[in-house]
Amino acid sequence: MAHISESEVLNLIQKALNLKDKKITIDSVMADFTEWDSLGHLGIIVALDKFFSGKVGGIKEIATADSVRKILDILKKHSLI
Amino acid sequence: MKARIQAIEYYLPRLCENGQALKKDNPDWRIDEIEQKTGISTRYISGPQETAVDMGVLAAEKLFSSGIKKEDIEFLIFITQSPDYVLPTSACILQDRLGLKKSCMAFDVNLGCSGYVYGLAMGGSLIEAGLVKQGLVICSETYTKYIDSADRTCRPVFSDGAAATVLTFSDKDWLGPFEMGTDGSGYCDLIVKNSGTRKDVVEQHPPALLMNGAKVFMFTMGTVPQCVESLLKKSGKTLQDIDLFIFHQASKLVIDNIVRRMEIDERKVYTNYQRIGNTVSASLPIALKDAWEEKRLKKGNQILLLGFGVGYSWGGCILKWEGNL
Repeated sequence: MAHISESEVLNLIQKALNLKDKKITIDSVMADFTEWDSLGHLGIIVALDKFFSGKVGGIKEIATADSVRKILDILKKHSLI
Repeated sequence: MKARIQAIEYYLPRLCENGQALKKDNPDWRIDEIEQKTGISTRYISGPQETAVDMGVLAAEKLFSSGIKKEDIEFLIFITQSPDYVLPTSACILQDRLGLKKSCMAFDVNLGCSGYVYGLAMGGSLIEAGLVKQGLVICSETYTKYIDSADRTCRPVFSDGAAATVLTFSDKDWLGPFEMGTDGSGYCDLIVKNSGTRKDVVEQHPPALLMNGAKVFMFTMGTVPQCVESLLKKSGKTLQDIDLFIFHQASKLVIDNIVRRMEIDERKVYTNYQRIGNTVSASLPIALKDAWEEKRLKKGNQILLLGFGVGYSWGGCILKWEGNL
């Protein structure tokens, strides 16, 4: 399985949301970006699931993670980062 | 089961809506990105006075125009979550509108995306048990009537449509095995509140469809692969033995991820969500009919059908293709 740092997770989220002029940070929350809507969140889940070889698709709480910190905490809890 | 699909016909409303219509109502929406994710470029919208029963009639009349005899229809299973009335049963109205005989049993099934497979299982069971020889499974939905025009989660995805299927007795096992399931803990993730007797919301807004897209997506990612594996185990087959996979046409995101997670050969996966959208219970029979019309099916093919969604509820089956429609 791939190993990844927190900053690389931020890059994955940035790409998944297709943010060009705005920057995702560790303090970013869903409400900060119009792009981070329901479909945008699915894009983040898919990007993480692809990177972690299908391991994120089984983590139900990722569906309600509405901030970068929450996403990172979930990935840490499941020993993915 | 000793039953087979003899014919399928479907009806789509006249109004076909594309991304430009969404953009006109919602100038801030990035339509290209929405379409890239959903994969859906056109959807069908029922007219203001057009109901699920009306559309079910039009789909079924196509069957009767093609040679199916009304007097041979012994059951009518109407699958809808957008009935004309809370009561009476929409299937009863359909029996009358279609001119089916009075000895025809008729009942509604309130299921969404899994509904078609449940309809096949129930209809097939009635035939297998010897109660009847032939009947109709009609799936018809007008979900768009529940959707707010500014709802970015639901509006770009859902579409209206109806499909009518004739199930008939066969001396060979063409239908099954089946695998169904339920997880009602997810009932709130796809819901029209204030649409029944329970008053969940104080405000008097018209009832609207609410979808927690991420939660429904996670349910799908977990449940669909398990259901496929159970079906294959029941049938003693492998993924490679299946000639065509037809999943509920939820969206590109959903189907692509099922295919990726299960490592299914994408050439064996049929989709038509791009031009039809997500027609809920009607999506599987519409896709099956289109796959046949596009010559994706041959006699003897093994087809895996799988519907999943609202409830949560899911249902899958393997059917052996009899060779015509």
